[in-house]
Amino acid sequence: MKRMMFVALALMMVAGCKTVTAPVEVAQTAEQKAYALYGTFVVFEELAASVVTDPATPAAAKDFIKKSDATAKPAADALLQSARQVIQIQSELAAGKTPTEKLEIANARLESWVVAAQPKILALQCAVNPRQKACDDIHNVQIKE
Amino acid sequence: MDLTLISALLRTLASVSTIASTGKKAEAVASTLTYAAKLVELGAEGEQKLKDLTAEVQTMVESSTPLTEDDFEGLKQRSDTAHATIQGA
Repeated sequence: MKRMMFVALALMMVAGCKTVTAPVEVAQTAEQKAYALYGTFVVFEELAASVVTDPATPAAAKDFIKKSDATAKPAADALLQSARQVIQIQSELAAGKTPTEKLEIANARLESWVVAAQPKILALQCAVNPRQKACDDIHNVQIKE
Repeated sequence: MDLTLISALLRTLASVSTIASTGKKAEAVASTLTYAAKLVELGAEGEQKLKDLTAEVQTMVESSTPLTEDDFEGLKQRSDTAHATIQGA
């Protein structure tokens, strides 16, 4: 049995260690970063939904995913709300209804939400797909016999 | 190595371990292998979706297309659905 487990883990390691460019890395403006980060969150939240509804998923893994999602969701939604405010202020500014300073403040707030939400979204990402290199420092996966 | 092949191998190992012996330990090993196969499949799916999202953002940057509230609303709805599934599981 142990030999079989080693084979399984070795295969997982071979399959892993791919580096994928994060969408947020190509984004330039604050709202593009927010879209890229929230989009990343949605990708992994949908994968997480698939994992937790699979009967083969161990209870401990389900609990870990649920907790990671419960932590990431409020931060991601706050990020989204902040991005919506930036878009609204941009329209107001275009219509000459608001000063430029208001947009600068909203952009700075959005940038800070991007920074605040990133580790929580990465934690969910790693709860779902622990093979990524970026997850090495977050936790080590333990598969118990 | 192809991820689909790895996943198939893990699932085969899971079946073999169930057939080879009986008892809770064998079932646990089979279940772990099936879970490992699922992780490999999801890893590949996640990588592809991230590539697609990266390409979408890259296009946005190059064309200077402004984002709208509707763009975010679509993502929010998908997130709310997935969140409800996860927390209700």
